[in-house]
Amino acid sequence: MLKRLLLVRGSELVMFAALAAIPLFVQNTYALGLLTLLAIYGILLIGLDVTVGYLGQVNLAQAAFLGIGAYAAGIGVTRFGIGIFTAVIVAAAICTILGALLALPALRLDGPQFALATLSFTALTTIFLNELEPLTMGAQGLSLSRPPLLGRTLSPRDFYWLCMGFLALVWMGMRNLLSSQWGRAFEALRDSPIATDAMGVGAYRHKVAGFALGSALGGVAGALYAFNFQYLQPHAFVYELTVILLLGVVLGGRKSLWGAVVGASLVALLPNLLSNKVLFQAFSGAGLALALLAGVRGLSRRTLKPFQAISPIVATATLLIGSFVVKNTEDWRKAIFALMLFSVVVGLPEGLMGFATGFLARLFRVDPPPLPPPAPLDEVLPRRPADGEVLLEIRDLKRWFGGVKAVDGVTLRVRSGHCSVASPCRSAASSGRPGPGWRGRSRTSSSSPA
Amino acid sequence: MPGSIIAQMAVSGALMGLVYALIAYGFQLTFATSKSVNFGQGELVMVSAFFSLTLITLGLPYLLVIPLGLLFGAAVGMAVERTGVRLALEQRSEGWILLTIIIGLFLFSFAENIWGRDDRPFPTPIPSTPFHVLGVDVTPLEVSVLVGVLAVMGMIELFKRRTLLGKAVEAVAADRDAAELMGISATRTIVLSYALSGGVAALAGILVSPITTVGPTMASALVLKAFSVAVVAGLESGFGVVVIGLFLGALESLASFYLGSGWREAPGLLLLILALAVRPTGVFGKAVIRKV
Repeated sequence: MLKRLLLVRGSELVMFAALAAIPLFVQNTYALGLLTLLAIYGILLIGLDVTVGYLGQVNLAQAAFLGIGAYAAGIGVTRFGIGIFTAVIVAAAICTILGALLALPALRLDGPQFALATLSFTALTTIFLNELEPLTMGAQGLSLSRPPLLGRTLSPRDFYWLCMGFLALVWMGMRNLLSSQWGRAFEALRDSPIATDAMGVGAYRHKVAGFALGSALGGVAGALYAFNFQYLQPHAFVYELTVILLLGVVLGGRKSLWGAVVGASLVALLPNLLSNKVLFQAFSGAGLALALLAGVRGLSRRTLKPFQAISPIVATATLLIGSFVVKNTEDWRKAIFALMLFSVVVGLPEGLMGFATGFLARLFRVDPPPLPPPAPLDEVLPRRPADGEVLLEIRDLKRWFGGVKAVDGVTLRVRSGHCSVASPCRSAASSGRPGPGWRGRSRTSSSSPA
Repeated sequence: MPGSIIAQMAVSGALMGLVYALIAYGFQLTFATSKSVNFGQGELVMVSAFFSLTLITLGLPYLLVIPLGLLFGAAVGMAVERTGVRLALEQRSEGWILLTIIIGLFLFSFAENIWGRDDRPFPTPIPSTPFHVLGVDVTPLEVSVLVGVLAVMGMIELFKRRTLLGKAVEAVAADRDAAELMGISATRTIVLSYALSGGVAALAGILVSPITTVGPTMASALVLKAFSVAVVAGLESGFGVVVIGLFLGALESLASFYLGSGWREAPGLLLLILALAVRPTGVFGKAVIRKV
């Protein structure tokens, strides 16, 4: 228990300390800009992971919420002169509201229809940002300057620390939330919404709340994005970005804060990786070696299907050959990204971090978190006096499926301290006509107070 | 005369809407058998159009280019099914959404680097000088879209109703397990439906590119509207997509006329979100009873 706490919390602490210490040694503004972007994308992907990882829906709207958050902050600062923290809060609030509004109709759907609804929301957002020129300046772009914080202007280094602070806050908040009742409800929802509903956890309510939460984090990231670049254009927030973000979550590993940050660093650093040819060749060679290893192991243990083992090898081999043949790897950015993602999605469905945590847990022999001991039923249930008070009352209940009446006109009253029986008393077959199938009857039994 | 202008806008928009209907029909074909659609269908349309353009610049006659383009589209469709869809369907997961997006991304980058990023004209022997019908100007090109779309949809519908193979497609669409018990291979039927869908998408590309142009981004807006049409009409009804396609095409043409060209895409997208909110199974779709 203590070992787990030390290792897990310790590695989190080490990562944040290392990230925060980097600007003390590295003065390069370019590198600092990349790290700031990493922090912003980290927040964004943690938000996206709520819908994609925990709710298990393909959400293509996160780029739109980034854009809405960025424009909300940008307009707030240029028009109304609000400060950084106010802007972040305003952006988060607007995105929460819009996210909930989109979720209300969209989350009644699932699978491809949900993906389509969010996809069209992204396209609509781009149109609105482009066309509402008086507010957003349209295609010209919106310039803003970073407002001072507590009376002092922020240097790039200060701003990086601010973004890191937000990432750390979001990380801690989400970790606590996701290990609470809410996180468990989200996971249950992904596996079976109907069962979750039947257990008394409002499926729809939790879904909408989860989506709104993810959108709010998108808004926070958007506000920071606006202050980072200080120039906004509608076409920065199109469908393509949404795909890249989604793939960042999948690459890093779903349902994992670490995965979101690893995915964010890949998304932020990938363009640089590609511009350096030797680095790229080494990277794709390592990828091929990993795919070969995983493929051969999976095939020999029969845990992978032939297609799952072979296609990542083919994809990474193409990547390696391509890295020697192609002159300018920048041009092939999307194809390279597609090949990498294809191999990860097919070969490592858990993502990089999912794979790594399994491996690390075996290496350090970390046990999964212990479950709390089961509580006796009497302690959990509220105590009720046996005074004949009505606990449950059903009046004239009807339910039919197509033409089949399952329940018709049931009235049932359950009192505390009494034993109630519902019995089939007159079936349609015996009476020769469709009659009430079940009739509830409340009997008072002298014994056994419930 | 504003009346005639409105009629003109509506007619040319509606003819464009037929292209959306054709792509949407391709979505229906695969959705019927496998409950999946290719999210990279726009890239398939674009790659097929580029392939046909290459054949034309090589000097092949237009009438030979069309079947070759269709075959190419069908082959790409089958490749998408093999690499992106089959594994996910076997695992009963929704991984195909991501995988088809990824394949689309790859095709996009491929086309960008092989054929270039610029929009290019697509030469065709069909003249584009308008003639007058019932007070509205129509070009032979637009008529070719009308004829091509209706002919192909009619042929596929006939194929599904009259041939044994087509009946197998219908059987898998109606009840996959029962069809497999009757000796029909569901996997092969799904491959067939993806091939048909790819061919249909390629035809859409060939028909639309003389009117627009050929470029890597030519189909991204097109396919979004095709999605709207497919979802608003419902993913089952072939007749529905034509009606909704015509309606949406006319609507967006009028929207771009009255609100400005930037708003062109907005009605389709709004319609999609509204339709999903009010009637998730589509206007012409059947209600689905979910069993636990």
